[in-house]
Amino acid sequence: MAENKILDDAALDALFSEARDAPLIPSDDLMARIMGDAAAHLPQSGFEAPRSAPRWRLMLAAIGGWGAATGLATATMAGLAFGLFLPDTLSDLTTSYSSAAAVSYDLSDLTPSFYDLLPDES
Amino acid sequence: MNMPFDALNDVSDEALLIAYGNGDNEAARALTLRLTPRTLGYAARLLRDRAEAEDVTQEAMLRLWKIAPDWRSGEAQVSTWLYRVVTNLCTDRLRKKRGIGLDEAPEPEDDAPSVQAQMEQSERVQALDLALAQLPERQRQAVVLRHIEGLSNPEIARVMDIGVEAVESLTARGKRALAGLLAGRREELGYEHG
Repeated sequence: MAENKILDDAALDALFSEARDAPLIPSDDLMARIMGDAAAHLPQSGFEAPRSAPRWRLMLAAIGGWGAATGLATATMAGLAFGLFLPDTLSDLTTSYSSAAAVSYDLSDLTPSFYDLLPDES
Repeated sequence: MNMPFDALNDVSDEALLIAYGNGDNEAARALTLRLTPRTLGYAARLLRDRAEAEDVTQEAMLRLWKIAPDWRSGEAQVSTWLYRVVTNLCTDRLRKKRGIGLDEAPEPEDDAPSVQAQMEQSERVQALDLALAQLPERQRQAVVLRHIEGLSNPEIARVMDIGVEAVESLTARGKRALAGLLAGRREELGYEHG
């Protein structure tokens, strides 16, 4: 009989269902290998912030590097020296050339008077 | 930021893959747990060799990790893509093993070494797998995808890169052949008096 020569659809579907319900269990080794691959190929998230340089290096770059820093230091020391020592030295020098110049200069002698800047009232 | 693992059960495969593509390794863990068993099961039924099926599964998952950053949302289902990769990898391996074209390849013998002994499955499922192994390769792929993996005919068509009508033909012929192969084992399968 035909029924004996083939398995009917219901019986076959029952076998398929049984196969679906009995999945292969992956070994721990396989799972570890797959997760290892995933970790090895994990894309970087977002944009990586550039590693910031030390603050002193940024400041050095801002003023133009080592050469500029050396010049700036020299100018600073010169300015400091002028401020500390030049008034006496200047007086000594000027009196050695002319007794009429035997006076000390004051800051007000070197800057214009505020009143000189006002317009004439006449 | 990584999503908590417990919160990933309801997340779609595609969302997990995109999360992995954005640097979330927990998403990869969830995808591995979700996709590996069915990928391995499908590969084992095509190759009939557990060690080779594991290699194919690892290779397919590796390709998934690599494509993640470029995955185009909505273009394909992750599972369908994976089945397609596994199908192609298995076909390549079988072709190399045989050393001749698929059409000329003999079907495996009934007593050939098989994966069933290693699968710790019931005798009924083992009998089904032995019968599946005797089907022509394309029929086997179509029947397994349709009746065990539960894919729709259009999905199988995309996996196998054929038309839906061809899928219907393959599954119908495959199922008919299976029924004939298993008929001799009705008693063994518990259907003699059913």
